[in-house]
Amino acid sequence: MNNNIEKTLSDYIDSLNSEKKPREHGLADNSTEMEKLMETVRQVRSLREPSLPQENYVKKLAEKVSSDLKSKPSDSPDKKASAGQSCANAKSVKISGSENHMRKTRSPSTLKARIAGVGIAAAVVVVALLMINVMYPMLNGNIVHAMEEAYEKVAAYHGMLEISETNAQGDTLNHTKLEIWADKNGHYV
Amino acid sequence: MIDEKTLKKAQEGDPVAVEKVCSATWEPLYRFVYLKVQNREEAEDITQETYIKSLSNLYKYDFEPENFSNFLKTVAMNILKDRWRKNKKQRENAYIDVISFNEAAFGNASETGVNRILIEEALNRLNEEQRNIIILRIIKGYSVAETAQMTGKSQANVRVIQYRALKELASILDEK
Repeated sequence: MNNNIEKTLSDYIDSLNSEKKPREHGLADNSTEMEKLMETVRQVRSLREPSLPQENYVKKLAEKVSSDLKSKPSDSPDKKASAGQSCANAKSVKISGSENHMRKTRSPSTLKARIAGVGIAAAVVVVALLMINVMYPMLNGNIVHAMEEAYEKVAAYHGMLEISETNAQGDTLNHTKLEIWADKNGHYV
Repeated sequence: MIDEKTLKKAQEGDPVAVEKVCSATWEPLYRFVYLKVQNREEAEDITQETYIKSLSNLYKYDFEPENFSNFLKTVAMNILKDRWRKNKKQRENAYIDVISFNEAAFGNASETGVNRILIEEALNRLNEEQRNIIILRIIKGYSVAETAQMTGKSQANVRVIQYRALKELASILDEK
């Protein structure tokens, strides 16, 4: 077991001495002891001067950074706006240039999406109208009248009838539960 | 000194501006990263990643251009932290400690000097044989074979002494 650690530790020191990234820096399964020993190696090694990169390092670094920044779409708000605009422009160019072609080749999934969109829009309008309809009498302070009207429309009532008994000690005993249908005259079954 | 205009241009990937920014700031950043990872390959890699992340996220932070160097170190520190967390699956461990995510890590020379003294003192508490092996292997960078030849010991023996010396050093440094 110790032989293993001794060897691994020695290899770790060799990696650092050759200025290479040790494989242990990318591992999740190093033991706590190994971690501690590696930390100590790095601490001791910090006594020596760092090994600086080669002469043309800065130029290469700048080239890499620059090309990466150019290839990556930046998240900056300015860039987002301009990127959005250029996207919109690209889209309009594409659409105006190939509208007929697009109509001919519209896929069923596009049609479905459009139908769904129209359906959602219609649903939103219906919900809005319903809400206005419900809110209107309330807003006018006419809720009692609205309830009267609603009651007039009721032809029958359906619900549950529960018969229970509460004794002097406050215990409630349920006798029965009935499902009933009643009409406006009080007749029920 | 980097001005705001140069930073803005560099953010857009302008090669001249990026080179200007890198030339003015790479060395303290590189040294900072190297101090943590102790190898050139990783230090170069993290330095590059730091510039890319810093420049592409520049607009999110409010700081004076003259503080760009400190900003770079903060980003580098976070990259190191993230890498290690990814590797260690959030386990708090010794490496996180040695990365020393505190103010001292931001290039506080006096604090770095104190750490140096502590490490040197710890080395002095080892016996001569152990100290020699550690100096030859880690500070001077000799291979096991070379160290074995210089000290007249077998390679296996060098590894054993090295291991014991590091264990003792770790325990001495823990006390401090």
